[in-house]
Amino acid sequence: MSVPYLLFSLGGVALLVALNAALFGIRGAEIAGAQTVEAYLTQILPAFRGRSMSLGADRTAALAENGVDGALLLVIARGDAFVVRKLGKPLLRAVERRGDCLSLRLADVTLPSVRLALGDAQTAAQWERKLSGVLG
Amino acid sequence: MRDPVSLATPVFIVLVVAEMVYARLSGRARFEPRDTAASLLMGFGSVVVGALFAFVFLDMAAALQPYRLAVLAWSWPALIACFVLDDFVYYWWHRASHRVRWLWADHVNHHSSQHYNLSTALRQPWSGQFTPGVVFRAPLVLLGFPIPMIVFVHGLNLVYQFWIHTEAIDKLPRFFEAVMNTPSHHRVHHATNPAYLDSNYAGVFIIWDRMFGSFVAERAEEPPRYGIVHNLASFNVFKIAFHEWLGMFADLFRARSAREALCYVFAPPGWSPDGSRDTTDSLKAQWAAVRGIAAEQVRPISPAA
Repeated sequence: MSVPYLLFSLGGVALLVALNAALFGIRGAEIAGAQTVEAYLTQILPAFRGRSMSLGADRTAALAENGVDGALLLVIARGDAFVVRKLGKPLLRAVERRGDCLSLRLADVTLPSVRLALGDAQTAAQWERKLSGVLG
Repeated sequence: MRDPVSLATPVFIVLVVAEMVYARLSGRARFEPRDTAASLLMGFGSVVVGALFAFVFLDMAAALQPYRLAVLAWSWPALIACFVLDDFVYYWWHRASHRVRWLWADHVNHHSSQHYNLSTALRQPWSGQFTPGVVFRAPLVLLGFPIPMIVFVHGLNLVYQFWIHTEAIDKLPRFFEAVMNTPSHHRVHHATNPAYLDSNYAGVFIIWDRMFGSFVAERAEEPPRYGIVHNLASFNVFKIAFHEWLGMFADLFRARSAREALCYVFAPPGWSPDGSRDTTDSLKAQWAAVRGIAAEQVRPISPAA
């Protein structure tokens, strides 16, 4: 396996990705709204009824509470898809709040930390309280 | 003898381009540039690692050859028999790769995309040489097939599997769907819907799934959702390649007994001492309980379907 072969292969990868971007565009990951989160969670979980839900100001992440079992869920937009994490021990390591901004530290190599600006300090404080509850 | 995968690579590229254009025009498939980049770079890395570690299988095969039961020469019947038996072996390796965490730590990479297109076929793992997967092909050596023939038919098997990674092809004629692995069957395999988990492990011939009770047909009312149970929040290829290994070693480090340590390595993915994590079995049970249906309806095993 020669260096020119490897470089040629990498060039091919770059061209295919460029073609993909040209045909489909590069969009920032975004959650359209609370209804999108609810519809998605209803689809992927055995039972979901949104008790409370907050969308981050940059629309890349949302927090949701499942009214069926009380589970706290983090929904992240990644590319054109969503990633969901059930927030509890041992995944959730720490929660910190500064004003309306929540910082979560997670035991997840692909998602070690998340920052959510929730718009107002009261909402952030409510989520901080709930999340601290699962931390024990 | 040239490796069939290397020979087919230009065709793979042409077909990926064709599928992208078709997807753009028809809306029947999805492509996301970062996801595509991750899949293609995983494929690139897999080729490099595969070349560097090709000696693992070759050395094992050479060590086993003195103990073979027969000496089979190159012939069409031997080649066909080797191809079919290699596919049979592939089925069991693949099934084990979904049920044993050590093997899953490697194979999970192939399932880590939430998209299902031809670029997903190229999302191949980098760490197969660090699993006992190679042992599955030992019986072929012991039966007496020439080592280059085993390597060749295995390459053909992988080439066949490329084209089934697509949403652009619906169901094929019944006789073909009955015998061969198809895009429809393999969409089910890549789906995370509880009804579809742990099914359709076939490489080329779907008959193995029908024979061993792991066949599930794709149903129009249950569109597949692709990816893994806990989808990755990163397109970083190093995180994709090694996340499950890191998780497994972290668990091993925390294990409180030899039994726990063994289960973290050999039990199904998601096993935990207190059952607090999701396994495919527990997910099926949860869905069955909540939806008020029998567990077998969540996993409709239907060998005769």
